[in-house]
Amino acid sequence: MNAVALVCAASLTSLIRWRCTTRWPQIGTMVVNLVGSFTIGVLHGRGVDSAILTAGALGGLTTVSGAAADIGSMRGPGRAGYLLLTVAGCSAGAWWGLQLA
Amino acid sequence: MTSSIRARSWAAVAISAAIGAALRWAAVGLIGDRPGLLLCNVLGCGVIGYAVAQGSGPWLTAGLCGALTSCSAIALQVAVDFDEGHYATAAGWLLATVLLGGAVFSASTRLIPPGAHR
Repeated sequence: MNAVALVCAASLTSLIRWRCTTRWPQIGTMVVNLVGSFTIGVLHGRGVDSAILTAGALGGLTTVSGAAADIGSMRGPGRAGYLLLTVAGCSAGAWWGLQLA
Repeated sequence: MTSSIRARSWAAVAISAAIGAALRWAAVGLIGDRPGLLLCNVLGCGVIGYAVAQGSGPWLTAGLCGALTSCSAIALQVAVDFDEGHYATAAGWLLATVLLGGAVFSASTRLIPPGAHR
């Protein structure tokens, strides 16, 4: 039953991500990744170990492949900036979330 | 886009995202948290590279690849390693994800000869 809830949560948040990325290309992916990474840090810090929320909802909300596709479609210095902001920002965001909890 | 086509797109993304998340969950359960996540993230980058080059629909890009990969999970893994002072481990898994994901994405976009798609 947990597995069903997990995939349903991921499916729902994937639709939210899709909506964000079609409305705001590139920025949308980065924002959902930053928000999802920060949120997973807060949840983990508070001892919430529900796979439905972490692997499901936040796993579906955030994406590595979408970021790769965005970077692949970009040219010039924006590309390095996007990569750096996603990699450093998401890691720092999760860490910040851990500290806040 | 008519409302029925739009509804079908939403349903396709929702169903393929459920499959992507189930595959990630299975991979993590079968080969472990870290290798399972790395495999899914790298595989997702490879599939999306091919999908973008081929002009595939959102069911494959936003749905399957989007849910197969997880940025929040790798970010948490790095943050916890860093917090516990395992700096080399944190950097190693992060670099492996970025470098392998980037390399596989780049290679997969070249699988289709220019002008041979759509």
